[in-house]
Amino acid sequence: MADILEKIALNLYDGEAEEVAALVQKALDQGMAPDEVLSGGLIAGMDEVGKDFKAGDLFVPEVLVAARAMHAGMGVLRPLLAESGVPSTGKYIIGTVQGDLHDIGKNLVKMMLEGAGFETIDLGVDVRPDAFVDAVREHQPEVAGMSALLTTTMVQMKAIIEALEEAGLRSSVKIMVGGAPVTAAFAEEIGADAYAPDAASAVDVARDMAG
Amino acid sequence: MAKKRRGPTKGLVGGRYRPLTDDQVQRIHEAALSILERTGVQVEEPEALRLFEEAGAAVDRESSRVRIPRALVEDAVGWAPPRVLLAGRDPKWDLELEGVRVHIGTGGAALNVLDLETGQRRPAVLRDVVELARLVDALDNVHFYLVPVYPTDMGKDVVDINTYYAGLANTTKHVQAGIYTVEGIRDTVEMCEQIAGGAEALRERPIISFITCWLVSPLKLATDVTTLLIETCRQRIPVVLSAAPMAGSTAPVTLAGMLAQLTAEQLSGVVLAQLAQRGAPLLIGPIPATADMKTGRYLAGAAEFGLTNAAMAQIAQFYHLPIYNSAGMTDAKTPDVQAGFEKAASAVLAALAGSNFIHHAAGMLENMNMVAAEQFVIDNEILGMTMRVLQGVEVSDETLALDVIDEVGPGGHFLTSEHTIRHMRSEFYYPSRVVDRQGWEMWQQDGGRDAVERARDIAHDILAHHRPEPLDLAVESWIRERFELHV
Repeated sequence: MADILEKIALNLYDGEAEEVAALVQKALDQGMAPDEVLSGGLIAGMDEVGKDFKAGDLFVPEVLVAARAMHAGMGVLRPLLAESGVPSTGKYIIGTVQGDLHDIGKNLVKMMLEGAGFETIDLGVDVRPDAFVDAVREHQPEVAGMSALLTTTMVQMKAIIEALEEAGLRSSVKIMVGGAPVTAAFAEEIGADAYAPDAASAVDVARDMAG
Repeated sequence: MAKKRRGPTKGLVGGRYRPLTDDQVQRIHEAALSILERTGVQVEEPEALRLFEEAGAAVDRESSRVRIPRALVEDAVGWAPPRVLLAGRDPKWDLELEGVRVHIGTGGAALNVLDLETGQRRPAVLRDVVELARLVDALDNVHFYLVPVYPTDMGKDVVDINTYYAGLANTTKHVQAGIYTVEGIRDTVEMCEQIAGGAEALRERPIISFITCWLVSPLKLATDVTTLLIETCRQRIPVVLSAAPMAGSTAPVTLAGMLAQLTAEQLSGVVLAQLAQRGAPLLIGPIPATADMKTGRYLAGAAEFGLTNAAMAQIAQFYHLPIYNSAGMTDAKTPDVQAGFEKAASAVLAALAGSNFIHHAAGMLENMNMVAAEQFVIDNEILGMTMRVLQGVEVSDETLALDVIDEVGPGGHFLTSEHTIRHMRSEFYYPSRVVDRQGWEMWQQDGGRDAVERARDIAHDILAHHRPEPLDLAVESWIRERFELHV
């Protein structure tokens, strides 16, 4: 029994998404509990990835393909976890603010979050404040993340926070900001809850806030 | 998942930077031959005088002047091997010097050390030869160990055997040093024959080589060192003909004049070495530099340094002789910004020119007067970057990646492509943690420290933990029985 969990973890480490999804299904078919497959297989593999990434042995693309495999495994598990009442890591909406088309950083954060077990809703790029508000209302995420690369567009982050306040939704969601020109001081100034300097630390910050 | 990493960087091919045109090389060659025929060199060493005389050079014993005909020069250049192996105790570190293949490492011989613990400048001792060998053994972009310091805590009679032993016992890379007595040469060769597994084994795989500064510019042979040069040639151990004129004081101020004189000096050494022992493996060792016209001091970090060392590499290629020259030096007194830019500029130029054996490129400060452990660690990164530049851009179907570009398409990303993962480790040079690539906040969280402080950490780590492959125990005890070792 433990053998298949180890196989899930190893395949996840190697980024074999299809294999991970198939193994997760197989474990369930053998009668394993969904939360056992989650912690002993997927999370165990991702922990190993995280450890080697922090040590500098794994690079970002390897973490991302592992995250993709995690996501594939979660696709199989998530409905069952919800049924059995196991709390998910959290729901996260993410987008690049209005006027800004840069999405590589946003995508990186999104993929890393998925690797950590978050359910993500990607609003894409050039996202207007009212679209953010609508998404928060609809999905009720624990965390909303905004990204900007340009000094001219980062001011849009403040507009989004104001729009959420006007809609009476500000207190329902934690807000994270990030992007090359963004700093912790700027985050504080515009009333965001948190700032993360890079994709890996964004996951840690998001975990703290969702937990 | 395949994790293809970059292999050792030694031996990559340079020769793309050519500061001289072919015509200019030809003119410098003609000028050098003319200097040897017209002005000649001053020789007082009796055996050298005899060798030159027997070979048909014009020897004026009254003025000790030797004028060398061009035919003799051409013959001697032909006798010298175009390819010289400098072996490592571990064959992984073998250096095959020929053509435009590039190797970079340390140089000597500083009398002072910037102490890693106290931060103070102090005299170098034998212990430093040991510690620096261990440090260099762990730095992958430093391809050989040229003993960087002269130990001031021992007599000239035992310095040769002790420096070579301290080097060989503490790194598996090739060890080279200056030598100071004929006895020292013979002792060192005897020791190395034991380590190599016999006299012929040592000649086949010379794990050591000797430096002789046999000539004092302009054009005057140093008598004592010339005796050592003749001895090393007859031992058939690779030897370096080192000469280091300064444009403006010991050579013409014009760079062309200096290069011509230095070429003549080198050719006179090649002739003598080949007369002493036909086919003797040697590296020409031209180190062109400039004098500070404001003070007369030797300059190691000048713009002309990289330029002229690159030019000398071209001249060596013209003669098909392996070359030892210098780069990666500085006039700075601490591992500061000046040290960084002066070192980087000349290292890149000398390497791109295809120099075979670039020494002085790691650890050295205050031109050749002082070394610092943290500077070796920093220079290891300069050399890593230099060798990556040398590696160039590979263009193939696989690296053009047309299928990958098509698959990702407009607006996508390459982060999760199998192609990215396949090539990301080998395509880029990844520096050690002496280089900080984090954002401001993360850098501050880590203490907000600069490269020099990080380099000191790394040096401390290596010296605390790195244990190089030791010498064979039986050989080790034989050496200790036979020689007076101070370490």
